[in-house]
This record gives sequence, C-alpha cells and structure tokens, in this order.
Amino acid sequence: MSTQPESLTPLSAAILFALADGASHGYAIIKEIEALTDGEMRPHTGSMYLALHRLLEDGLIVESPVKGEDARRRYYKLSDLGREAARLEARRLAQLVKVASAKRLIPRSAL
Amino acid sequence: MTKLLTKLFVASLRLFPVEFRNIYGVEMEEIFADRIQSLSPLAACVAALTEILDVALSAIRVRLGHAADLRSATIGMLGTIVVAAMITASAVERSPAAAMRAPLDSIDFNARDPAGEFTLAIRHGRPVGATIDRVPLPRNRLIHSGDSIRVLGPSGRVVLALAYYHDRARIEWQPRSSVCRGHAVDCTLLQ
Repeated sequence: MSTQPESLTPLSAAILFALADGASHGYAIIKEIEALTDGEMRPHTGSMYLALHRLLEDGLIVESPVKGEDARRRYYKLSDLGREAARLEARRLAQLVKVASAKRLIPRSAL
Repeated sequence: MTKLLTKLFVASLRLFPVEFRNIYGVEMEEIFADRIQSLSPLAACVAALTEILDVALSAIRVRLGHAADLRSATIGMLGTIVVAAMITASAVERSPAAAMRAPLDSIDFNARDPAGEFTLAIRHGRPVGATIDRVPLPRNRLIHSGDSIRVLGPSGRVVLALAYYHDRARIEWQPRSSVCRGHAVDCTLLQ
C-alpha cells in the first residue's frame, strides 16, 4: 500500500501551479506555463486540454463562474483539493531538489 | 497556408469523442490558429504536424480513459449485484417473514475507488464499522442520517460519503480522487 499521494504528471502540476494566482483560461495557462518554465515546457493543445479535462474530472480544478477579459473562453480555478494537491506536489518536488542538490547534481548556476 | 493547416487541425479534432470536442474544440482551434499565424510556412507546417500528432495521441488517451470508466462502472454494477445476490441467498434460507427483514440485518460492503479501498459494516440498517485503506475507524466517526452515511477523518471532516438504500439493498458513494491515495483516511471530500 502506498504511503504517499500519487504524484501528478508534470503538465498537470504545471497547470495547478499556473492557477495558484487565480482563475485563467486555457490559452493563458499555456502562456503562463511557458513563462514559468522559461520556455522549457511548451504544452501542445491536445495534451493541454486532455490534462484540463482530467483535472476537472478529478475535482482538482473547477470552472470559474467569473469570466476574465475574454468572456467567450472557459475559465478554470483551483478547487480546495487542487490547492492541497499543488502544495503536496510542490513539497515533493522541493524534497527531490534538496536530494539532487545534496548529491551535487544541480549546477550552482541553476539554483 | 494558415487556413489550410487550421482546417487540417480541426479535422484531426474529430479523433476526440464528440462530447470532448463540443466542450474544448473551439478554444483548441483558436489557440492553434494563433500559434501558427506568426510562423514561416515551413515552421507552421512542422508545428501543425506536431500538434496533429499530439491530438491523435491525446484522443487515444481520452478514449482509453472512457473504456476504463466503463470497466469501473461494470465492476461497480457487478458489486451491487453480488451484494444483492448474497442478501437474497441468505433471505431464501429463512422463513418468508424473516426474508423481508433479511436485507436489513447484516451487510459487509467492500469497495475500491481511485483513492483506495474501504469497507463498511451495516447491522440492522445502521453503520457499525468502517475501514479506510484497512485502517479501522472509531464508531463515532460514522454519521448516519436518513439514507446518508458520512465517514469523518481524524480532523472531523468528511472523508467518505455514501448513500445507503436498505430497502433496495443498494449502496452508492462519491468516488474519492486518486490524489487522496495513500492518505485517504484524512483526505477531505469536496463539499
């Protein structure tokens, strides 16, 4: 039996992190992820909407009734469960980074 | 060129199930068109091919997910049938009068959802015991009201919610998210 929560896919985690500041729509989330990762992660459209669909199904994000500047688009925001999942994932990643850093696997310039 | 590539991309969206396409199709098309419009013709073709390939792979994953959901629903339905059959079998062995009461006497329900396993013991229509991930829960964490049975975690929040229809020998529950796996004993359900 597992003692840790199942980790998210990198794209799902990135979506949750991108939504941490508030509601956003699909294209803005893609742009935010590209900006947050310095262009390292450039989600394709199909993968992006599949990930959004699964996060909605799992209850980690919900559709936001409040529309932003583009009212035609669907806006998504974190649910309480999603925020908790994002926290757990961030903690897990931080722990991994600590281990990698202790083993000198991360160049100083990247920190 | 942009129009042609967008038409190809839109055609590829047909690989997704229609419900998925109806919800996300328009936005996906807009994003695709916006992405390729500033690219050179060659770069746009390469980007379009990559996007269409990604759509194909994502569509397969969506359809496989649907197949898995159908499998889970079938397993859930079989679970209900098994419970009903066990109750019926025990009732047949009793007198006709007792047979009417038999479904209320004793039910041991074992189930699994994306968060893990849980069990619920019901005696005379009342929940008397439960386990989550094989961890027995104190009886005072089982809240029974009408058809509703709620299981509370150590923090007092609802971690599992079930509906128990004893006259129909049917139990339904709100599947917990896979994110709760491994700490389902205290993983709060969305309210």
